[in-house]
Amino acid sequence: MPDIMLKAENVNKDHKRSGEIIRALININLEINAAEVAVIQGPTGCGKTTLLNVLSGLDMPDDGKVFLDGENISRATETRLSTIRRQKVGFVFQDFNLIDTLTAIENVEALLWPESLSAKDIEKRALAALRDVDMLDRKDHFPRQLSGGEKQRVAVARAIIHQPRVLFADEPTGDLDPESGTKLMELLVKLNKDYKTTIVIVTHDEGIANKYGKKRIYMEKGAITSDE
Amino acid sequence: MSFFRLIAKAFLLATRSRKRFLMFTAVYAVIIALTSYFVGQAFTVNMIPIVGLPFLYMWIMIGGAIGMTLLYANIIINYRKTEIATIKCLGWTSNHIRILISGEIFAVTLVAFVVVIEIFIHSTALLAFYYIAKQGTLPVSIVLVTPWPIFLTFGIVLGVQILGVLLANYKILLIRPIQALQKM
Repeated sequence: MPDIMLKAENVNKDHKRSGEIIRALININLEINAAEVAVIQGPTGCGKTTLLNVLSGLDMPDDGKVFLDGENISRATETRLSTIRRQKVGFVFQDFNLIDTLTAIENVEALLWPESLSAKDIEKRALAALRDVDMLDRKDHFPRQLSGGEKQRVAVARAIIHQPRVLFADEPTGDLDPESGTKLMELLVKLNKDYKTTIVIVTHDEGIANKYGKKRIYMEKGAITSDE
Repeated sequence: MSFFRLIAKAFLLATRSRKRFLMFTAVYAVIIALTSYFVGQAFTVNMIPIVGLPFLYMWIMIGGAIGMTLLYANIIINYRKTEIATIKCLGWTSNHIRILISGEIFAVTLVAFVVVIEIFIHSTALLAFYYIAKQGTLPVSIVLVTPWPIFLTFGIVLGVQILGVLLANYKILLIRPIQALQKM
């Protein structure tokens, strides 16, 4: 029986916008197994990003529980969540979110700077991560010198340097052309195969969901309508 | 180990934002130089204050330093809001970020101080050379500013930086990791 990496139990989340309460997540029950590639899809405003935020601990549910690698993160302190993120979780953002004044390798290393590791060890890991994403030859370039696809690869390297158990990606191909988007998805699938990293992707792209999602979670108006 | 690494990276980040760093270093250098001059005029050798215009100007310059540190801290946090939210997503704690931003704030003061010391040393040497070349002797006092006011001013400005650090710390706490996912 496979390990359950992520679990949501009766999760509800409301947002307040201009005095109105919007039900972003309604009674969400969900399980994602370890080493699975799960795609959360649905129309704009259906709650996919909110679900991602809650599953990753970036946001807290109003009700219910969220378990990440067996630990209840829905009531964890910010310090504990920081530790979990540093040790077990990787993020890939739609806008890449690289630091403009750091080179590619420095952006990748940045995740490990607060750790008690030697500079050499951190560099070694960063080089390995950049090698995995085929960006080793661009390690000393700044983000402004990279294309969108290359920036996203560096962002993926940053997300995997600490070999996380789960990687969250919010519309990772949203700002990329179709060819770069395909290459990125294939990279994520490769990482899933090589490192058994659980990958959770939010996308509105049907093509990506059909091709890469082993587990497909479809949402509409805050609720999960299908989970296969 | 990670503390010193974060301080080193803070200096790196500060100097990589070249225009902002140079501008604030220049302003701080002027503030330190002028404050040093007025401090030197405002106190006797035995550190007894002489109430008068230099004393007033000294406090005006210290007020200027306070204004600059709050402005610089504000600019850094506003400029780095998405970056701070992103590194919080990556697992940095507010404490780690505090060290980074504090290092950036202190970096400017330190470099400005070094600039002022360098100018002081070279201007004193140039004046000494001029007087010896022209008159053959050094006058009783040739220095524009004696060294102790510069070091005292550096200490005052470093102390004032704590206000900037406190403002930055407060703003860091307000930034939530989820903001990294929002377009800012």
